[in-house]
Amino acid sequence: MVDSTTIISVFVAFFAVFVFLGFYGARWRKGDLTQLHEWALAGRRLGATLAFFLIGADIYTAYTFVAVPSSLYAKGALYFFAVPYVAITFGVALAFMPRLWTLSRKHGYITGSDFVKDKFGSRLLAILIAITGIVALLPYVALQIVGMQAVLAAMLYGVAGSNSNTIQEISLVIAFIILAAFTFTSGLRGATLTAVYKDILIWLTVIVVIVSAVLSIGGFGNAFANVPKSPNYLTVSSGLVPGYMTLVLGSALALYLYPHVVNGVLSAQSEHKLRLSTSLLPLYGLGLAFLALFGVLVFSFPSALSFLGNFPASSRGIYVVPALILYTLPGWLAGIALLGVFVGGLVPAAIMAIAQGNLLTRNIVKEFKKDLTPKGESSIAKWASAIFKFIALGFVFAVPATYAIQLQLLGGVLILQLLPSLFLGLYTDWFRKEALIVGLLAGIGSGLFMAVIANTVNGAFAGFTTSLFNTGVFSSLYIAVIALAVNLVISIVGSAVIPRKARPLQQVAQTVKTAQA
Amino acid sequence: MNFPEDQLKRVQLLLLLLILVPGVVNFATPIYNFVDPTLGGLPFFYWFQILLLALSTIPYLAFTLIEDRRSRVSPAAGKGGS
Repeated sequence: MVDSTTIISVFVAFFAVFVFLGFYGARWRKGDLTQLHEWALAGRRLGATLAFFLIGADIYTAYTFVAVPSSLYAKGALYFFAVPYVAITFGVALAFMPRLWTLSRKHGYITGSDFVKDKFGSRLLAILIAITGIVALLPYVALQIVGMQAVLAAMLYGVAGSNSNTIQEISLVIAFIILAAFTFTSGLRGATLTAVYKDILIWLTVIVVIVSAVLSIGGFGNAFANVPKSPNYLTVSSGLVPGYMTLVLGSALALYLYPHVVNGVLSAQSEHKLRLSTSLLPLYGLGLAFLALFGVLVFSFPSALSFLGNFPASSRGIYVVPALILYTLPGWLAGIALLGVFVGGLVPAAIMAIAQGNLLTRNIVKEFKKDLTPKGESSIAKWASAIFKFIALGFVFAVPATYAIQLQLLGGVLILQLLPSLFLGLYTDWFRKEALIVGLLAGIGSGLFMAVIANTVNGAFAGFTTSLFNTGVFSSLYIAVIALAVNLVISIVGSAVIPRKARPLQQVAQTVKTAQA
Repeated sequence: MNFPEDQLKRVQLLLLLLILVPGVVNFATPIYNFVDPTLGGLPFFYWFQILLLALSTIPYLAFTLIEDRRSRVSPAAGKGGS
């Protein structure tokens, strides 16, 4: 039997420590929080360790704790793609991020859109990049809210003894209010300190649950003996291999295009510290791999399985990790572990919302209202980040919770379209802004079109449950990668045929040449 | 240690490989999409990818060390001036 009183008391006590750290963080290494770069980039003073934790927090989110285990539980080995994705994405980061960091420090960029504007001399392209970044983060924030809701609903279920819509709704409202209050008050400094705290809790949870669960069922061999025959849990079915590979590729290329991740990168103190922390992050990903396996382990715990049975199939998956925590750990430890999962959604959501606010003021509002004071800039960013969280709530209802990973994959379809401007733009002057604009719009348009087609059942849109599009000849592929191909073809062909004028920004070209020398 | 002109190309190739090789191996799903040999009950598919994730750190760290040394030796190379 689950001891709800102990679990909730411990959860609340450790959450109090979290709140203290969040507020203390706002005062830590004191800076003027009415300045945007202080609120949003922590004054660019994070060393290798803190940058490691902050970028770690960007990556190990409710995606890792809730969405991946949920998908693995519901759909099998296909969703283990998250592991090779993480391994590759840090290589991508090493190739592009130090260059972006250097250029940003030199020219005072604080967003990817700043760089694009300066590089291609196009306000329109820069604004489109900013809008894409903001919109792509909405479903990703929604995923974090789903994760926080899952923890609260699992705990409240223990108190009420039955499942109801009221419990789900109360959980959602509480999760949302806590998130909004936290982001508004502390900024990136608060997020960094709490990220360290969050990670200690998470690692404790992963290690304890994996070790105790695997020992108690007598090894992974038995865990795999207990899984259903279908879907395939042992390997990826041959028809899904191209899907698996494109999910890996698309996700790996997309991560470092997200505004909040760029934000984390630019808050590093030096290029060396950025590289060092990036090259060590795969080790951090091991936690993700083991958390994914929770989706397989859960089948060996009848008590946890019967707990899942209380929820409808469309939302059952997100309770995999909470259920294993509740039914394998003693009450006090379960309270700590659940808090780890809860703040695992809270901290990244705050970081994402900060990045959205940052983009809106700096790259959209300021384009039209040049005389904005630094104080006005910071206050718009804070309010906007609150409003965006509200919009993100809408996505919570568009995706059945078990398929929460689709929220992140949908964000990926949009954000991946920034690759030609942001990544390739770091290394070449060859692309023309007109071609990049058309390519971006075509990529997004075709991506959204395929996403809707792939999720239309019997002529009606049925909620997002897949991000793979059946191409026929090449079987099912991740939509983001197909859309990127469309985008790249247009960007390349367009740049080749548009006649060249004199370089609009001699100075930038010069800088890039020096950097390439 | 310094990197003269002729060595620089080889160093750049090495840097490229240190990122591309782990990328390609991780991406090449058909080479690890098997159940056997299992390790501690985990199918090959799982344990190989977990191992690969941990091992990726080695080429990435090597990349970092070489790149740091390169940018220290010739400030123009990695730092982009300033």
